[in-house]
Amino acid sequence: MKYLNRTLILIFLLSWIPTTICRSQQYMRIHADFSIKVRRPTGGQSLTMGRVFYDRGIRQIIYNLTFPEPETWVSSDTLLYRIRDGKVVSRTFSPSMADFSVFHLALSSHLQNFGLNLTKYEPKSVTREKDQVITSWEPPLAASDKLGKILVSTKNKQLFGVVFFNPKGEIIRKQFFEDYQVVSGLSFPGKIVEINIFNGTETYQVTSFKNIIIDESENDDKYYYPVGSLR
Amino acid sequence: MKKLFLFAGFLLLISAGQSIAGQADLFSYDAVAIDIQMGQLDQLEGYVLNNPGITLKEMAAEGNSLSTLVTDSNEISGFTLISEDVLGIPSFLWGCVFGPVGIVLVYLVGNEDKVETKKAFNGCLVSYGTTAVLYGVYFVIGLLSAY
Repeated sequence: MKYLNRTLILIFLLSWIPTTICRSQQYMRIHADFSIKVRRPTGGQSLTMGRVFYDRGIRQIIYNLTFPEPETWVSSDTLLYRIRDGKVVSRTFSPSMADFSVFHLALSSHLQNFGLNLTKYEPKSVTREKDQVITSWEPPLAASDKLGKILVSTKNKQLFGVVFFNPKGEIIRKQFFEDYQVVSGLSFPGKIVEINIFNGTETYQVTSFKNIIIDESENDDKYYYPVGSLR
Repeated sequence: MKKLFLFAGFLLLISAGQSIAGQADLFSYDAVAIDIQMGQLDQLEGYVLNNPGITLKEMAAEGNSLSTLVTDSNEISGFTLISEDVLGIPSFLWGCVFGPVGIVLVYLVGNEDKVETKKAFNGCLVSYGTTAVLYGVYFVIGLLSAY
């Protein structure tokens, strides 16, 4: 009985070690150079470049644009502020909640599921095909007439692709996460290819990240923008 | 009769397998075609990287032909799970899909609009209520099958 108790205590103590290690590997900050190239079926195109800052505790995504023009975009509390020369140029509702941004999901180790495990979407099936593990996520019943399913594919436990469907079962968007870079132990996609499909035409968006820095201890002011003073 | 059911079940499994298999093919795209589409923007990006601090206005003022490649306003998207196209806007859905977080969002974004917040709250209730009903049904079925 003595040995059983000791064994149980040992198992209990050992179980804390991986938990402690996991906790110590949680990341808080990321900043990177980014570029976004968009090409529309009409032939219209745009290029946006700059540097993005995100702190998981502050939950503001700050984009310091350098091209086409110097500007600061701050995504905070579901509002997107465009600031030029210290003045607010526009303030719009943006459903791009920081919690579901690629930055937050990667830092909090939820990118693999695309953050769907944090929503009411339910995983309905998991299949392995070739080198991919594909999970089908279904919307809650009450919203099934408004939302379609989402397929998430992972390769080597990294998010590879996401396919969005409308309620009719038609594909409306595809996203691919490529060129993963490991920085300070965190794996982050260096390229995101997005294809939006509408009425048989496709819009392409390619987002690239370079010079990724994780958990920088300096430049605290880069990760917070006093939006309260902008109201 | 047993053999017929077995055969039917076998056919069903195969068809289900076929409908599931082949999903990997959805996760592909024509990378070459997209590279071609992005060719001009790649060229522009290269120029900007080689000329740090250059702006579009300055390029246009210099008569740089690359500046004419930008025809649309810039945007930032694709960084998040959420997009208006995918989820729609109705407050009911925010509550239904995102639960309490969705309700808070609608409250904050809607400038404390009580009507919209109530819709989000109802969405959350419907979602949890549906789940509860389903669990109740499964529980009853489980009980009945035990007898």
